[in-house]
Amino acid sequence: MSGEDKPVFRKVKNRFADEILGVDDYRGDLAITLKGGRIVDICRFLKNEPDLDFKLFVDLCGVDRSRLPEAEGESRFMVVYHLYSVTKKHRVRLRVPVEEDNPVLDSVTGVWLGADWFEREAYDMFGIKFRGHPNLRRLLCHEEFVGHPLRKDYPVRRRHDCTRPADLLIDRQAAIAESTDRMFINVGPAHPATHGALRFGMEIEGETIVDLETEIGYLHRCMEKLSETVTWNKVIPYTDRLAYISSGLNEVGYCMAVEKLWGVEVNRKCQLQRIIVSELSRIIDHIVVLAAALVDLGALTNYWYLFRIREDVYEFLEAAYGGRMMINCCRVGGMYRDFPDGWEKKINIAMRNIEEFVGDVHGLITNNRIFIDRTRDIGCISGEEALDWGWTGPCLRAAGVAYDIRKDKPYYGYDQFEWQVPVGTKGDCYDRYLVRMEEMIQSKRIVEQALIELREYENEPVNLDDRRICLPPRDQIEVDQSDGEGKKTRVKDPMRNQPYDKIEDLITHFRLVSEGTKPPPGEVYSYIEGASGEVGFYAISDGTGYPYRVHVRPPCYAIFQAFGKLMRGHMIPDIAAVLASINIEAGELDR
Amino acid sequence: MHGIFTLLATSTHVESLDGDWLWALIKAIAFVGIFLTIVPVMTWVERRGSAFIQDRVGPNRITVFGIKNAGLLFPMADGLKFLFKEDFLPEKAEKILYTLAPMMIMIPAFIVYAVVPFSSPIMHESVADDGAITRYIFSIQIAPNLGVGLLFVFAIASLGTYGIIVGGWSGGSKYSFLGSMRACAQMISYEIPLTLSVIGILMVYQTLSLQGMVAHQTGGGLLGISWLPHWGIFVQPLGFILFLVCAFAETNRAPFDVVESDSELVAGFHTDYSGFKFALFFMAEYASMVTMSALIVILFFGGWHIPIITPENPGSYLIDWFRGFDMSLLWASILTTVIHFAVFMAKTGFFLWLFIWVRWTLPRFRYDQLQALGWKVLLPLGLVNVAITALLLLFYGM
Amino acid sequence: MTGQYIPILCAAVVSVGLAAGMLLLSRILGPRNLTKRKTSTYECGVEPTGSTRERFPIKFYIIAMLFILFDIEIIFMIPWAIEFRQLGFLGFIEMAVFIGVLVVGLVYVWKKGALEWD
Repeated sequence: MSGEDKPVFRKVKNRFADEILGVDDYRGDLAITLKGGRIVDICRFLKNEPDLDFKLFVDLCGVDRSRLPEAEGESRFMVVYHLYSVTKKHRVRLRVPVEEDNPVLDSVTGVWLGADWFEREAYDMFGIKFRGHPNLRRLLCHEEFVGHPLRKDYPVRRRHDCTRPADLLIDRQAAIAESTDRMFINVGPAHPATHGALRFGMEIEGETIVDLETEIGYLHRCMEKLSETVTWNKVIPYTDRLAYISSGLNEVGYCMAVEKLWGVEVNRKCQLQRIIVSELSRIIDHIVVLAAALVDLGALTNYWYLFRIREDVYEFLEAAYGGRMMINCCRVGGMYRDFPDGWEKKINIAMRNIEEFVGDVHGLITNNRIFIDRTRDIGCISGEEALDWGWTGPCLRAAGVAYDIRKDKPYYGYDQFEWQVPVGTKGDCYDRYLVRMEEMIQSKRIVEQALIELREYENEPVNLDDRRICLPPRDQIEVDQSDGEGKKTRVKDPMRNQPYDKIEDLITHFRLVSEGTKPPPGEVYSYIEGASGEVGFYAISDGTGYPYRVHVRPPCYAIFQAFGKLMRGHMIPDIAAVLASINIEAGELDR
Repeated sequence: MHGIFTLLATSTHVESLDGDWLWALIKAIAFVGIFLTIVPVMTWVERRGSAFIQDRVGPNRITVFGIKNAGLLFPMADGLKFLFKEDFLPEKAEKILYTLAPMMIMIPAFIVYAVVPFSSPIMHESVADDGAITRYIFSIQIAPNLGVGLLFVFAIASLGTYGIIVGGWSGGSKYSFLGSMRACAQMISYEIPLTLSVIGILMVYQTLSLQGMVAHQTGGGLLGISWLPHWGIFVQPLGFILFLVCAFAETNRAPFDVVESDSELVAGFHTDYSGFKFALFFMAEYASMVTMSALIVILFFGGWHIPIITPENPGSYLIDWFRGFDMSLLWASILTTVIHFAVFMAKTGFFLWLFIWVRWTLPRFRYDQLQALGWKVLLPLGLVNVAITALLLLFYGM
Repeated sequence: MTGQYIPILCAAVVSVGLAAGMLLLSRILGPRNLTKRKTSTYECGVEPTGSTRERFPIKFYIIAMLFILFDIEIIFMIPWAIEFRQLGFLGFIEMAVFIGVLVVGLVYVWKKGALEWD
């Protein structure tokens, strides 16, 4: 089915035929190119029309097309919207060209609340102005920053000295100074509750929060710009450092995007290994979130119980890939290497301990009256509002919307496994806690089933047999391994590989590493269920070995923008409870 | 009545050494010495205990001459470190108040010990030519003659609130300001149920003197069961629970540690304090924990009394038993005192462990929930306890 | 009568001496090199704005007033408790009336919402 025939496109065409510049269905992604003039009307139509129902605001980003050969003579910038309908399960990408000399577009913050920070980011990175945005200031870059870093003519290595902390709650300062009961208090970037470098300013009256504004960007390395300077495979370590506690998931998401550009699907063995790494990463991520949340509520002991499991999982990841937090395990078209000898035993230890320690934490906390009082009805959000803000993942499911990409658009055969999606009712901190606790158990079930299936593929290759994408295979040499008591066994040496015996293989290797894999020109959006929501990668290839544009759709970025609104009227201690429950990872926020 | 008290009652002439200020001074110094040993041991127990609860090893790295000591020397290293740390004033601080605050919290925490009976008194007798026996008595308590005992404890202990308020307010940091506001409201709110929870037990004991309370509990045969001691816990179970909860709140320990809750207010009222000024806050917290544990033991667990030794079981009195070995009264009573002291410390130690145990088990209250618990649950329960006790005493007890 | 307080005075002297002595000792032993950054008031590394010593919110005054009322009433109960057996039934009735007034006060305060924080 081409893009022209898709019902979403036909609906839009019936209503706004004059606005449509083109339609595309590359790799199954419906992309509609529109004129910018009536974008707000179109968006409102997409959101409110019952048959379309695009309630979830997924992503908005800018693209600088000035170096793209096929865009010769077209407008320089493009603003790209990604939308999803939870009820109809369809997606759409809107592309709106924006002229260089007058980079102005109407803001859609009136349609979806979630457009707020995404539009600020596009303004920050490309200088595209959004008319009608309530607070169009720089977000990731500092206020003293000059220029727009993601424009193609901005040099990668240009630096600026930025010293002053950003002013927060500017329009409230006069009122605070005048009032004798209200106070402005700053929290972070170095504060025990912030879990990373972020900062917020609060206006408080006694213990009650009147208003709150956040500042992020302390860790901003502009990962998206860096990605444009290296080959496709070399971006993988950068993705590790997004949501750094579940790095495996980001890698899987990114590699899937590049494979989608290629139009290939990895081997089943690789899929299963990626599933195992993903689910283990999800477990680690949930552990860190839950443990940190409980520490902030003063229940330190649970932290240690949970972190014990994390250690077991890291034992396995370390044995498999060498790294613990930054595992760097995936490659386009495959994995860095096969699982090592004895992998099953290590995973089984971790799986056994999960049950035990999660049970301990349930016993200590779940029915604890103090804990329930601290988290019940704190930081509530309705499912509808959560979608509007662009929330996904456990936080959205806690609000009662059963949207899980692994179920709604199963990749890697997630639908063949037996598992359930836990859903909350109230969308408060307690529900978020319970959803995460249960997801760990469900992830464990998936890992166990994937393990059984993986045994069938023991002697098969992990990587694709495609010389345009993957390195040629090499036999592993066997070496002696001593067990310390004089006994020696022959094992496959995980570190050193046999040299190539064909010159063609060597040349292929050389070219793939130095020039990179070269996906055909085109653009795709690929997404997986990350630990805290939808991790999406919007990738554009111009046919070279280097990405033209890689944009990350970070789940906690969308979630965190609602934090100020969420906290209004709560008390100071609730900050710790809510902040920890929505899972903020500064690496992913700032990128 | 315990054997020691009957012994005193039958003496023709008793002379007390307790009024002597020189002895009081020596005792005060000795007790401070005892306390200064308890604090390091407590910090050690807190660290190793929390490690035990949390399934980890805990501090164990300091070895002396190659001897591993399970981290016992860490507290000593801490103390030395505090002494050698730079002690500075934040620029916005009120100089005098800022320096006085740690002392204001530390001094009341120590003075309270003056009325705590750590053990039974030591006795000595001399027989005059005419056969009249003069007995000398030496209490293991700095101020044994203070009739208002318990009231004195409450009055002095609550002075510590000033230290927290002044410390938090004078530092000039917003976190410590918020912490001291919380502290002030929390401590005064919980003082009401705390006082109320002992009214019932006062009705039973008919005395405010802590020594007198211990004496009252040394009787046996409660409810006709010969081995059941007359301890406060059995006659005032509700009062005990109320007192225990309030004790946690008054010492600002978890789950009531909203005053310094680290995830919200960084370190609460002592955010800006460093060096030995901080150490004084730290010691005062442990001092009030020891006070509260000692009070629980004295009010509800018979002080230094050993359960099975009751009047229904005559001959079990340690002092008589030792004298049976042809010991002089002085030596017999010194031995008894030492044993009683150990018993008292063991009981107190249990409650100190309870403080630690609870801290590593429960999450923290939110500030308004803590107030609601104090005013809406503990206060009414305290009134109910008083009413029940009064009715029971009127119709059954007297 | 005042004689019984002499040991308290001794304890006070010792503890004041201890606290002051230790502070003095650390003052002598500790280094002193102050910088502007070090002595600045802590607010997570950001220059504090506005005055810290703002007015206490009214809630805290209400709690303080309630405390004074209830604490004094409970102090009155202590001598009654000590002499409870001597005072007998009449004393009980008197105290019941007194506590009754206290309870009415508590109920009033509760219903008025003075114990709520939001």
